[in-house]
Amino acid sequence: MDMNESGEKGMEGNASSGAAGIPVEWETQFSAAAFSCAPPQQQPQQVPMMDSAFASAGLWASTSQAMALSDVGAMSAARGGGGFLAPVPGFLPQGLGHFPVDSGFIERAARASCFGGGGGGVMAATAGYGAADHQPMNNAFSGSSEALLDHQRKDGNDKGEPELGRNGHDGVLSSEAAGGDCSSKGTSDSKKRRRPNEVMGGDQVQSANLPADSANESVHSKDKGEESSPATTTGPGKSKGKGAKETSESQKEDYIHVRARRGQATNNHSLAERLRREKISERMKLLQDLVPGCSKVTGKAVMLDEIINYVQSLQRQVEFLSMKLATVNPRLDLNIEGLLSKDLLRFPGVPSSSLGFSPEMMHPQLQLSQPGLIQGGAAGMANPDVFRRIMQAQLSAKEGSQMPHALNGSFSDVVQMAYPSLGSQDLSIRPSQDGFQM
Amino acid sequence: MRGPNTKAFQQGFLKNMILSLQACSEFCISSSASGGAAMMSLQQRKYAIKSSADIAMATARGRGARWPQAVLASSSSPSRRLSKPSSSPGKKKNTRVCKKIVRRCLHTWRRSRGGTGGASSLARTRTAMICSREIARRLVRKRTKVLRKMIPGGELLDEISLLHEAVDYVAHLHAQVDVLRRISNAVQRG
Repeated sequence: MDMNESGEKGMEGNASSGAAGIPVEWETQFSAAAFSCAPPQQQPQQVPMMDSAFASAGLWASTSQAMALSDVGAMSAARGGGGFLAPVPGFLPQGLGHFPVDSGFIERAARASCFGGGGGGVMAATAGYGAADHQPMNNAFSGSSEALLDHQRKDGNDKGEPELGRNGHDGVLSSEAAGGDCSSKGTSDSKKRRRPNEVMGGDQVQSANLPADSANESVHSKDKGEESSPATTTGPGKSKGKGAKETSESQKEDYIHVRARRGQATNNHSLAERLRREKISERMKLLQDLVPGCSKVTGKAVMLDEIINYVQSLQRQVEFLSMKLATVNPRLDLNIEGLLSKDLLRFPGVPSSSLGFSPEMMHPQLQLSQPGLIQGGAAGMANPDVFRRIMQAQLSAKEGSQMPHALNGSFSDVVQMAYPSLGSQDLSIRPSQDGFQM
Repeated sequence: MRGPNTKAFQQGFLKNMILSLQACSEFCISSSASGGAAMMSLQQRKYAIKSSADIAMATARGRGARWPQAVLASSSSPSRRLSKPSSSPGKKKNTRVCKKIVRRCLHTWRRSRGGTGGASSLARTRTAMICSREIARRLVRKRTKVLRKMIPGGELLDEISLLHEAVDYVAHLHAQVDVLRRISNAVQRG
């Protein structure tokens, strides 16, 4: 469950960060997905996530598990009606980011299909990868993978095949660079009408500058256009969909192709809404874990209510505690040495051994940080100047006077003396909660 | 990763709190020494402590979320933080009660109409369901608005990132309460 959630969040990170990253991770994910032949309904959330992960990686070529919330905010803010496309080109250098993705993916697909000839073709294409242009490259890939697909179709590899087919189909247009075998692949492609998503590849790559295959492809795509155009989600370009497979090609428009589930509407809007709803429910689940006493609650409204109450109660607690500190402390001096030496040391809680920490391990860390303590701490924001400035702004607004510009020299001594004692005790006792990885 | 319950975060928080309180007390000392101004009242002290705690939390959080920036921005500008109006909890209770009442009414209405005709009951239940769905949507929207006000920097975010920020903020608030409680216990004891 923990891995599941972290994986989910990783996918979210893929969806939202949009930065070109290492393709290795999702390549492994894709291989995991490709090798698993179970139908999508039986599988738990992970495989659809893998699919969407691998597919979305083609879009953003990012596999960073660390989610940058600011990025999330930015991306979400820019999302909607094609607004999402704006940041993506900014992140992806002309789709270069997913170059290694595509080649690696096709490589693995070739390996998965266990075809030496096709693999050789893919290898050859990969070799010429760097030199070739974007379009012919992908088309070469797809042409060779199309060969694989023709054979693989009979194997009934549900997972890998549609993706391969999609990818293969994508490049069929301009596969002349591969040597002309693509025309045959294109004709064979027309026979495959099972994959509705392929037409999207055809639509996208239609502007490729290879006449013969493009003519072939345009016919082909027109054939399939009616049955699969609703299946494309173009505008919002969301990357996640439970049980939705996504392709990795994103040559020009950076679209995400989502396969609609059985019995569901396949409008652009409904697909986007479904993705959005799934994201929201996912976040709700996270919040459920965080807010105590919300395990049985279902439904957004009640859940939101609980969250609001909890946040309010926490904020009220902070106010109450600060009031208590203010009453106890007539001069705001916070006898630091006394504090740290006696009471915080003796604080009860989960012993550090349960966390896997040890005070000795904390010691070197603190001693290292001591020289840098006054200069600004780990976050880079914990600057005494920051505090001085802020407190100055606040207090001067109320008192109307200026603040001293220098901290006491004794303060640094006190702190440096205090921090060794800090190292020997546990200030944060609670282990980090599941599902909350920041 | 720096979760809010890691030792690193809490230590950072404590360190920042100490720094800010130190700055505060120095300011106090200087002001009293220079002009003989009266000592800070309880309210002022409480405000100073609270804001220093908020700032400490925000700076210890680092670059992972959006709310620290909002907290720091709001604290840098000399604007007094307004206390929460006490009517909002009442309002939410009302909405919850309202929702229950509406649901109950719809249920009874559906049940009563169910006996009249089987053909029309389906349509009626559908309209009843649709009505309740709309009500639920309205409630969700209202509560989202309230949540936006409570989470710093939430006004600018859309729903999904708002929920995300809420998760982050809740966890860190929890940690902040924890640290503050420990500090107050320590000060009390000593």
